[in-house]
Amino acid sequence: MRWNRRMEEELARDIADHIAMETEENVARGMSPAEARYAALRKFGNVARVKEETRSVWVWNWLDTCYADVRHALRRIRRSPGTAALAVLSLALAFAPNVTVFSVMDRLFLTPLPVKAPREIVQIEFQDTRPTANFQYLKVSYSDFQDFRHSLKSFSGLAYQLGRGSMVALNGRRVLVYANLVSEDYFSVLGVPILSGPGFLKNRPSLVISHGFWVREFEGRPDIVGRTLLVDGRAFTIDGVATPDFHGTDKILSPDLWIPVETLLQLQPGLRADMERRDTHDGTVWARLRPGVPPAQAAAEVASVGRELARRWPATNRYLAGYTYDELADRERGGKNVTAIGVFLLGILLAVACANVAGILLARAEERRHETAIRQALGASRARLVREWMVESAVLSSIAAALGLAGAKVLMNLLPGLLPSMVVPIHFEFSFGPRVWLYAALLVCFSALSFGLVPAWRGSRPDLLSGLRRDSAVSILRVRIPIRSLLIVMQVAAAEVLLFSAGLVLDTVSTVERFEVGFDPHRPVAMAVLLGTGEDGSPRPVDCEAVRDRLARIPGVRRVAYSRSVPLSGSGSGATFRLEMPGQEPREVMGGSAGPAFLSTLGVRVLSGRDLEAADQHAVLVNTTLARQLDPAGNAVGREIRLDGAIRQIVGVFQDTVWGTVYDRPQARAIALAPARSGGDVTFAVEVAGNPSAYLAALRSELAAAQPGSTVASSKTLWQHYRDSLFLERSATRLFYVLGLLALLLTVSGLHGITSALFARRSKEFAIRLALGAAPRQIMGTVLASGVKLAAGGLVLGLAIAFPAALIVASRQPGFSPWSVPALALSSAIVMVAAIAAAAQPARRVLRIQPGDIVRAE
Amino acid sequence: MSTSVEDPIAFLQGTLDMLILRTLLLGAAHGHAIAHAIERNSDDVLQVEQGSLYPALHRLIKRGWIQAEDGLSENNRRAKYYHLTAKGRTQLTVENGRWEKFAGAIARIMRPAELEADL
Repeated sequence: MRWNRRMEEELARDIADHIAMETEENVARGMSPAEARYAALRKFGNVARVKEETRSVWVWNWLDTCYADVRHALRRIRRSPGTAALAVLSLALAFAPNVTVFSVMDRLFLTPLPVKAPREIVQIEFQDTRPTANFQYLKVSYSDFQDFRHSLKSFSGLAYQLGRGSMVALNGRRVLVYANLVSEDYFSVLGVPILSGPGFLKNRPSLVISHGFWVREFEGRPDIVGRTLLVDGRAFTIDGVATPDFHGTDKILSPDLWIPVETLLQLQPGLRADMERRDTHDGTVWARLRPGVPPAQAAAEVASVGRELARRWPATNRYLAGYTYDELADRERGGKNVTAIGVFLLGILLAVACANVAGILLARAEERRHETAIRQALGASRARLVREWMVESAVLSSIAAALGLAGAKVLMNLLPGLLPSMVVPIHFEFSFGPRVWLYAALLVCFSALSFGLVPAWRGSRPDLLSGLRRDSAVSILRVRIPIRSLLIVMQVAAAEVLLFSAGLVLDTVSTVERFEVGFDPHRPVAMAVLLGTGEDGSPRPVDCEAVRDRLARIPGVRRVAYSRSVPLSGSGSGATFRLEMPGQEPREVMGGSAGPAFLSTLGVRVLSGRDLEAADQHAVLVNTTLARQLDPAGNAVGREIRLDGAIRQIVGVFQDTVWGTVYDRPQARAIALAPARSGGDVTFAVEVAGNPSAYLAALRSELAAAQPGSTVASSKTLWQHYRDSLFLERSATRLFYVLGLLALLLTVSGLHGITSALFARRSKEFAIRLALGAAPRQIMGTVLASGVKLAAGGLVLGLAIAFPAALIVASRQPGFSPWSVPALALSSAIVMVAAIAAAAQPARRVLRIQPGDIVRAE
Repeated sequence: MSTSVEDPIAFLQGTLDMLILRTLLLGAAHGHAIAHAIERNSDDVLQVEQGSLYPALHRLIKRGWIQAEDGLSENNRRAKYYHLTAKGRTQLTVENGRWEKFAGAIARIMRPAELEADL
């Protein structure tokens, strides 16, 4: 049986009957009817309370009053929409970046690879044992992988993976995608399930596509398995779609295709020679331990097989030691550390917002003291009042959460646009996973509790006499200001921590930006990559000279150059030459090939000799580091050296230039002439008169027309190319500044609030002082000083927290120093100026005080 | 329900419940009649605020100890009649036992005081 309207009516009738009977009896005893009814009612007691108590026998009381509380809270929010909006906005401004950044961290750092039994999986790599090695750690060539797989007994399986760009033909459109060439048992070794389809088949060229690719390009159609897909001009059958949570094993790049290496080599036998070179260390090898085999034993076996390979293939493997590496555990640790730092910084922002809302609610508690006092006088319990406040906080927090989530969604859609332009487009599918929802829910609970509890407790405390008297002086002095002041000091401190950190990161970045990159990023150069493919997407060599002539005809273009290798292009700098010198061990030097005058076009200085020319088939450029190694006397130009078995003459020495990232130390490098006709991707750079970005469109269209069927990618100015290489650093700076300024914005509104409250509290006193002849300027100073004092306190506290923290970070992060005068001065100045601005407005109100009015009002 | 008097309000509610059950043992009655019966049978010592009867009646209905049905009062007024269920009868013996224990305990404490007063 549940309480319902019928029962409600019956109870009312029952009570009415009862009172009627009692009245009749009273009349029978000789009372007048009115007297009789009055006596009956008195004897019965409070009818409304009886009904309420009876009702509460049936209804789950708590839920019922909660519902009432929510309605009540909404009504109160509607009554003062301005304050509520301010509170909600403060919170939403903290929620949106919190959720956004957390969801990115969740995707990048917290989501484990969806592999079976990840503890059984290790990576196999090589370590170069020479102290002079260019790279200490090397990945594994396909041939070495096959030898490892053949010899190793400690593992139940080894998987090979090599990333590359591939051209896919889709209904007349061609799309460049990131593909992984893998060993045929890749999915089973990793223990990654396939969503639909049988997986790689042996009897036909088959491949697996990513879930994202399936949804993006095929709208998730169910009949996808068995369809043919043209990849680089070869027909493959789609024999599987990966699960949505498998984005490949790379941290950031997520492949759209998985193609078995052997299948590809059958279709394109020409690739075999290249694939089987032992000196290309570019494959990732995942190995799954056989159950029961201790990792140390497996590592010993890898080392021993590595020694065997070194014996068998001395030319390439002599100095390479095989070792195993627990990549997944390492990633998990690193990811947790990064996330912890991120959540800490985001938490500061949230704390500032909560402090703000707490301040707003305290002010409202003060406004409602009279109302509260009346309710307490009528018997409302303190618990009841606290609960009302908490419900109101929860309602505010929930509205803010909804707004914040919507904001986060918008921000997440904007994120991919912020990524630097790459030859192979990166697809990032950000979504709210379960961890993100949990995080958002925790945010709401934490914030509602933190900003709700203090005002609830203060606002509900029994304070009948002064509350009913509308006496404003007593409790404010005792209660509100100290807590709000403390909140403000903490807010200012938090803003200072964030802004100071932003300054430090910016300082680090500007230090990095002063690093010598070896070319002039300010030159008016526009560049783009041409991928030589035919109409069907199959590779076709690019006729570089013909394209160059065509580009040279664009009006305003002064010089055109092309190259196969470009400085600062990240990972694409791994090519090496084998350098043989009489009387010395052969060794690897970094290599590359560029067209005529390419380096000069980028502003790389040729220090002696000259740049490459079109006829230089047997010439080579060396950088200063290599030149010094070859001839310490400085006369390298003109010497002949043996590179990859061919004799080449050094025609010029160019300044050391960074090829991978700005942090690279200069390495010995030789640059040969790029062939005028070559397959794959060629970068064209045009030096122009005026603003290079104005030439990008023309560059793209001319390149596309020069070689029909080819694809133009990654068009940008030299400056953008340079800036993109510092993408992560600049993103970090931006993130810090956004968080810091948001915190400052919230702090300013809080500071303004408290200075206004202070002004309001003392306006009577000010009026009297003005009436007695005090100068308004003096009183303005008092108001201003009260705000500035709080800000200064917060500033000192913030630095006391931020500085030691920065020292700890500096001890782990080379190149990072907390001793930055600009960061210190800038952040302090921003905070103080903002604080003065926030306090100035209430201070100016002193001028509007009419002493007579205020004193009379009392 | 606890056997000790830890929660005085629950104990008093329990006492009122017991009085209602005891009254209904004599036969079905409406609310007004129950209130009067309790007052009269206690020689007007127990002056119940009559309204508090109704939450108690509903508490007993919810527990299944009494049932309500419509009927007519002595002077032909329509009224709701409450009567004991079998479960209610059993409960009454439990309440009875509990009450005797309690009353006995009070009596044991109070008696020596009377003796002292006599001395």
